[in-house]
Amino acid sequence: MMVQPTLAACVLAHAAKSPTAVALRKKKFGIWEEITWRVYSDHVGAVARELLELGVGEGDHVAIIADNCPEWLYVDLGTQTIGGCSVGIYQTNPPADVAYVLNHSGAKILFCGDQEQVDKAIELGDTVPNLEHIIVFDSRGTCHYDDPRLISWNRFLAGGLQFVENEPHWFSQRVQQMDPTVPAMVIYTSGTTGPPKGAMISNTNAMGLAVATAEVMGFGENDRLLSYLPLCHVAEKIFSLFGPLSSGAVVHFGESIGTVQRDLAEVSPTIFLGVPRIWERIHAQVILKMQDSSWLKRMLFDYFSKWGAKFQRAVEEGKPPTVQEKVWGWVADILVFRPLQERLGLRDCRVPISGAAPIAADLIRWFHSIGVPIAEGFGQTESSGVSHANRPGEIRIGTVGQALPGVECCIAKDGEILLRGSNVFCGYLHNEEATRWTVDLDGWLHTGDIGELDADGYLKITGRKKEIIITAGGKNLSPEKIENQLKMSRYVKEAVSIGDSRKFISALIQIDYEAVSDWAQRQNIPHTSFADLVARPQVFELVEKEVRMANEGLARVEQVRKFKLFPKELHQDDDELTPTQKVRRRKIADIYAELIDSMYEGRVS
Amino acid sequence: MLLEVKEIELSFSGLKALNGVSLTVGSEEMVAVIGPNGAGKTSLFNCISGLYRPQKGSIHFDGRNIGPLPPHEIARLGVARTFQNLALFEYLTVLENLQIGSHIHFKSHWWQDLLWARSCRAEEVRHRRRVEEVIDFLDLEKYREMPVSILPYGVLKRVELGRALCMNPKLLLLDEPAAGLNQEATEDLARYILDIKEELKVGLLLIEHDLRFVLELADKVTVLDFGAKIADGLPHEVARHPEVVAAYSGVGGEVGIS
Repeated sequence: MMVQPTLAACVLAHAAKSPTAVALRKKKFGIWEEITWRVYSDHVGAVARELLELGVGEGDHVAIIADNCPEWLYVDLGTQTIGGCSVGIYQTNPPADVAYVLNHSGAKILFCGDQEQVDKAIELGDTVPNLEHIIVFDSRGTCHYDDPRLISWNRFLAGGLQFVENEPHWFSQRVQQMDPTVPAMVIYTSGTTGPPKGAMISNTNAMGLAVATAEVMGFGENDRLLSYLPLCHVAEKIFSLFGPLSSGAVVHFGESIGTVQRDLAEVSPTIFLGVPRIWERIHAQVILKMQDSSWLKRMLFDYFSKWGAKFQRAVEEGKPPTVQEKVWGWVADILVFRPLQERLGLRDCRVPISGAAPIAADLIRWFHSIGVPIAEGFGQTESSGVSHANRPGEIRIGTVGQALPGVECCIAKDGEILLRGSNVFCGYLHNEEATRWTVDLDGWLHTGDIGELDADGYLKITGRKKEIIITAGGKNLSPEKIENQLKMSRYVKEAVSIGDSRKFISALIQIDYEAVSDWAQRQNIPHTSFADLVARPQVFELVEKEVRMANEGLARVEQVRKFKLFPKELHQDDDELTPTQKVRRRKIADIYAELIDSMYEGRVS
Repeated sequence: MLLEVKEIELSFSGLKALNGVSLTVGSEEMVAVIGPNGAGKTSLFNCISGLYRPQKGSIHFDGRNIGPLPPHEIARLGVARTFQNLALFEYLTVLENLQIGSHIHFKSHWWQDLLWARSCRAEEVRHRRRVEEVIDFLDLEKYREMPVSILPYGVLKRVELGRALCMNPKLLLLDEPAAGLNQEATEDLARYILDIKEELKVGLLLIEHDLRFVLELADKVTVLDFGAKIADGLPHEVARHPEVVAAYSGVGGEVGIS
């Protein structure tokens, strides 16, 4: 297919070429329902028409707060078609944060997924004066609401669908008139350091990126993807919109956030993006499940995963596999790895990817050793989601791969990674000063990340510029590296390392409640709640052992000398996590100041 | 009126469990029955669902006298109930438990089932669809394939409610749905119960100890004590009734219903 200038044009082109081919699948009432390109295109057209009727014009913003669903995509693309800008809001955001995004973007219209989100919008009342209409996808529970702004999705769409049927050319004409260089989506950064900033992405950004990723990952019509990460994050946009629209791959929407694992097994995607937290979870569950399986399974798994790890080391060192290793590999695949991959829904996955946050190299190695060759990528909202990726088959573990085609990369004197190319965003919404700080006059995007390039152009990320720990001894350390090493343990869910201007590195650790609770039960340690479990001395000893193990993979100055356990689970509502579940380091430092200081009192053990 | 209970009396040898109790439930109406332990609330439920037969009085459902009917026929007419101590099959999955709820409406004969006739297949699909709608309604997707025995109590309460809904009832009898649930689970459940009333247009008769739950949700409240009705009316009226206030020591005033 010819390269299209806009995402909406892609939908139209697919609908013209293969109207009855499947574009999307949605699991409803236990059955995967198919949505064709024709239906997809009609719905986008209908949304565009109805938004126009509601008075949305060029440069206006339309906000969406909903779980992933086909409607999300229709609204996003429909808004762009008439020159508007879509704004995604995290479903987990508390009302105050929703109000911030609505007011900052000045959105007139808010699409809500369900009653829960409608309640938030109505609760905001006068604090969001720009909001004129609230449209709800699933109107269940809202039929008695008397807010005059509320419209149900079906009522909103009915006229538009009729119109598109009567005037089939209207939509394609609108799409042709689109200016691909103007902002089409505003993606709010999750804001680990301050209030979220709205990064503006144009269709040119998106399409440039789509073509580049398609080339690197070999996106095609036969690919299957599962849309499950929040669609207001740029990473999921790549895998639910940019990539599939440019290539014709089929996007699947599961039943709910709680069913991801089952949906994954049913869809068996060929390309799958996992954030590190997902990969950590899968790893932890495999280990946990193996403990409960029969001795034969356990023995086979232990033997072959050790063998796989050894084999993986040889591959990394560049040794070609011997005949014997090839035979063993085949046996391992049949006996252990294939059934395991099928269980996880990763058997057909050609391109398993990790992105959106740094991941421990050892975790990637583990997945490689069981035959799931995770490729790590690197990107940020400001580079339309991705700038570097490991090509399948040419993966170097510990690096985020080479720059995508069309992306230039260099390292500044202070070590900061700079990027240039068609994927560099259009700037921050209503914040020119921040834009000037981020993109310099020569068009270089300052990423804020520190990294190194090797001779073949593979990029290695060493840390965030603003978060580098400088110890009292003057050593520069990356907190992420230390934390990821700790998070390799299945008992550790979250870790925050501390050490700026201190004599040594310490850490606050949140235990993985499920895993530790399971362990405690096996040890006959009674407990009732998270706080209760944390208070048990045996749990502290358990984590201590894990920390000691993690320290073995760290340089001497990086080693964690003391740690404390978080007395509660970290939560977005308490301002401790971002909507993407990243820790807000500074907030944590404030909230737990006493706990941290207590670790630096007295002598080092 | 969907349900009309008139002057029923039930006694076990010398003990009067119910003494001339009357109440009505309309479609899309939620009526709560409250009262101390042993007041006869569950006995009333058992009379309506046909497990006990009252010695005096009449029970009409949808205009039909259901007094003499056996429980399964009353169920088939559209009266479903949940139980105080859960009545689920522990070793079956959530899906299977719900399918059992829907089983009463199967119309095919056993010999048709044996031949796996076209009509059976169509019926099977229809019933599965009904069950899936209930799963969607109560957000049980995550637990569909899990055996009931490993699920937390709050979810079990929802499965129990789901099993009753799969019977496609016109009237739903809920025996202490919120008992044993924490604050959050109780709020979730209240949401589902309101949705059942409003979206599925089902009449509800509810026994509940949590007075706050009752006063905020119910359209009408009936108070029983020692088998007799001591008050009924709108929630805020009942909450001010002197005998109720005495029994619950002022909780009603504290609740402050709007």
